[in-house]
Amino acid sequence: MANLPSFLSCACAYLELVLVCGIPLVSLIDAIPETQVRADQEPPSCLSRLFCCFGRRHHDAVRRRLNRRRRRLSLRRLSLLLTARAVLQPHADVQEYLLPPLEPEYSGKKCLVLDLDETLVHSSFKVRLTLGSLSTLDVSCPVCLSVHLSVRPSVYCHGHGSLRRLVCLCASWPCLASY
Amino acid sequence: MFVCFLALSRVVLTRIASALGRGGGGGGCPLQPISNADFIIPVEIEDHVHQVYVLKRPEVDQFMKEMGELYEVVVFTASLAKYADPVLDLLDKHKVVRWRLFREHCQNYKGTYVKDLGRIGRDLKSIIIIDNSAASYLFHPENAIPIESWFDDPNDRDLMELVPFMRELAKASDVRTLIRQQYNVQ
Repeated sequence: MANLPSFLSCACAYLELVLVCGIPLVSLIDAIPETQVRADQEPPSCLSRLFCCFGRRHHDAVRRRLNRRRRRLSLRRLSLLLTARAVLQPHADVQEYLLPPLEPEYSGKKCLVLDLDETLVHSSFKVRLTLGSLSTLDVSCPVCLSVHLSVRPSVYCHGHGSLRRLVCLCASWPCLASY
Repeated sequence: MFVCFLALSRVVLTRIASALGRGGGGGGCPLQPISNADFIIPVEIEDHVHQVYVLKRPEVDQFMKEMGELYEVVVFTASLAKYADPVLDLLDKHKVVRWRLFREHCQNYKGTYVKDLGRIGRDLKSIIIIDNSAASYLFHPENAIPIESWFDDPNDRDLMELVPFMRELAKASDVRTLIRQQYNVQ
């Protein structure tokens, strides 16, 4: 009974492995190298070699011992696996993917993630004024008493040769009046 | 200062032009807004409906169509769905966007919204993100194609200029190798 807590934790770990990683316990036991369990195995007696039914009790005992050892090994291996996984992926237990698995119609296609704002579109609460095709003006709410002027540098470069300046003008009341 | 004067004079000129174009500036503010927005979307914020004016980046329709043929397209935005959903309904004319991810799908890392590509559910060898903000792909710079922020430049051609590289990437076994070469990602 003293081993109950460790058994329970191993059982939980096993369930997690099966459910999360899809690794069944059988495959873990099978994964244990043969040499590790052979150490326990005794060479079969001559009689049992000759007669399959003779010495069955002995074989059963060996098998039971072997299975016990396999289980112990598999549980140890399991805890090692879990420790390794916990170190490598600290949030693996809460990992949930944002998208469902790739649908057949997209098989072989890569996934392109696109941003929306300032990549595909630009949105504003303010009305943008179009002044010809050269420059645009943003007029914020008049109550804020501010005017934002944005000018693409290239706009002025057209008319001023190599002159390249970025103009950012924020005006308050007097400027707004002359504006 | 010289440049400031230039800017001011231009403002005055254009302001007069716009006032004249409207048949003179009578009483009140003569500056009436002319919206050149591609879409105007009403969005409710704190019980008030605000109009959001959306401008489309030049050639975005053609770009989206081409990408839809090459990729499984996901739009991942740090904005809220109540704004992004109606924008995408109108923007995605060719119905190429298979999935939409919003702010709640971002990871809040040191106060910024990071798009964690590891959580997408696709092999990182075959995920590409195109984003104007480097903070968005902080965790996976080797999957990212940077693009300049766009606000209103009608002469911007950045999206369509990416298409040849995107075609090449679609055939690559690991996109990160090509992106590393192209953008010198460390």
